[in-house]
Amino acid sequence: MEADDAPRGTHRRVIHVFVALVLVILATSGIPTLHPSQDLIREWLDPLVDGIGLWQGQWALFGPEADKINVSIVGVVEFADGERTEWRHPNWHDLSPREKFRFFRYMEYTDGIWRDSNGGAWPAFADYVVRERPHPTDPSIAVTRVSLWRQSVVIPPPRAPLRPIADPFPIVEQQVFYSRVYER
Amino acid sequence: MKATEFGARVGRAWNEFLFAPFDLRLAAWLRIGFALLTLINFGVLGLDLEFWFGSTGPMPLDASREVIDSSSHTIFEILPQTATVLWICYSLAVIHTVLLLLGFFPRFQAFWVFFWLWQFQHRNMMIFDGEDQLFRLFAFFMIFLPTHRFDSVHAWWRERQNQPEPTRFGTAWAFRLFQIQTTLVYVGAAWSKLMGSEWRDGIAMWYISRLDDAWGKFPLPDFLFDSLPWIHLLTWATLVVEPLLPLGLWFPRTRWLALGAAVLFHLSLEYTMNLFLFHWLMLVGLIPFVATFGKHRERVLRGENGGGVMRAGDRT
Repeated sequence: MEADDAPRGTHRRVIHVFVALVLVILATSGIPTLHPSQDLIREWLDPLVDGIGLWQGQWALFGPEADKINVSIVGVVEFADGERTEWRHPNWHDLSPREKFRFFRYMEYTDGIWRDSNGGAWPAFADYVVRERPHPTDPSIAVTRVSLWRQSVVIPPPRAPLRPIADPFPIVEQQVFYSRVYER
Repeated sequence: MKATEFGARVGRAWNEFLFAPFDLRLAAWLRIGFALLTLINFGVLGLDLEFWFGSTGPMPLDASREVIDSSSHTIFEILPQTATVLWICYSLAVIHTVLLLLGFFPRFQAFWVFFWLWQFQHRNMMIFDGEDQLFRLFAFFMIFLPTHRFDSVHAWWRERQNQPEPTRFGTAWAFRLFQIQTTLVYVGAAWSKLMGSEWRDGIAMWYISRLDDAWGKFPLPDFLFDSLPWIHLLTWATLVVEPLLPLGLWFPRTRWLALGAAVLFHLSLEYTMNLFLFHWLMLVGLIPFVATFGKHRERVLRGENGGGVMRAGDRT
C-alpha cells in the first residue's frame, strides 16, 4: 500500500527519476566489482560523481585480504653541525581508547602517507617536519637534509606456537621513502 | 503472464516500495543520531583544524591537489587560504550541524552539512576513510527526509501554539536511500571477505588482531586471539554474519533477528576496534529498518501509538 499523502502526477515522476539517478550513482560506485566493465563505467562517471559529492568506495572493510602491516612514520632533519632532530607520531600501542579516538585522523594520515600513490604529498610533509623540528639550540644553523622513513613490520601468517597478542611484533624494516638535500 | 502485465506488477511494486507509509518519528531519531555523530566528528576535526586544513600543516592546499582526482574540487581552492577563513567555514559547518540536531529547517541544514562534509573531505582526502563517505551520503539523503515534524524546534513551537499534531507518516522513498546505502555497505564488506582466502581459511582475525592502530580498545581475554581455533571461529563467524545481514534486514520475518545481530555485531566491533564513529554511524543507518519492524507496525495500525493514518493491509 501507499501512504495517504503519496505524491501524484509530476511530483511522483520527478521523485522516480531522481531516485533512479541516485540509485545508478550508488550502484556504479558502491557495488562490488564483479566484471571489469564496472570499472569502465566508474571511470566514465567519475567526474560527475566527484563533481556532485556523491562518490563512494566499494566497502572492502578488511577484505579481501586482511590488513597485515604495522607502520610508523619518522621524519629526520639533519643540520650542518651534525645535529639531528626527529618527528614521530604517537605510538598507537601506548594510547588509551580515548586517545586513539582523538588521534584517529593521525592514524589515517600515517597509514596513507608512505604509499607511492601519495607521493605528491611528501614534499609538503617534509617541509612540515623541518618547520616542526628546528635545531634544538641554534635555529640559524642550516638544514642539510630531511628524510621521511617508513618503519614497518608485515605480520607473518599464524604458526604454532602463536605469538601472544600481548607481545606485539617488533618493527623489522626501515626504508626512506622521501629525502631532500638542501644546497649550501 | 504477459509482458505488459508483468510490467504493471513491477511498476506497482516499485511504487509501493517508494511511496509506502513510513513513521516520521523515526526520521527525527535518524536526524538526531546523525547530527550528534556529525557534531562529534566535527568536534574532533576542530582540535586539529589548522594542522589538517591550514597552510602550515603537513597538507597545504597545493599538496592536497597532488593526491586527489583532478575532478574532485573543493571550495577551499577559491577561498583565501587563511586561518580566519578556515575557522569561519568550520564554524558554519558546526552551526548547521547544531541546527540540524535541533531540527530547525532541517532539510536546509542537511544540505549545508552535506556541503561542508564534502568540501572538507576534498580538501584533505588523506585523513578520511569509508565512514566519512557514509557521513557525506547520509547528509545528502537527509536533505530529502521530512525530519521536522517530530522532536524538533518546529514540533516544540507547534505544541506551544497548541496546534494539532501533524500526520505521523510520510512516504518511504528518502528512507529507502538510507536503507539501500546501509545494505550496500554490508554487501560490499561481505563480498570482499568472501573473495579473500584469509577469510575463507579462517585466519583473517589473526592479522587484524595484531594491527597496532585499528585493533585494541577495551580489555579482552587474550586466549581469544592466542588460540587458532578461537581465531578460526571469530573469522568464520564474521564471514557468516556479514553476508546474512543485508538479506535478513529486508525480509520482514527475519528483520528483528538481523537487527539484533547487526546491533550486537557493531557494538562488539566498537568495543574491540578503533574505527572512530563507523559502527555508531552504521547503527544510525539501521534506524530506517526499524520503521518496518513488524510489531511496531502492528501497534501503529491498531492506533496505539497515536497520530497518522495507515490503511489496513500495509505490506511495507
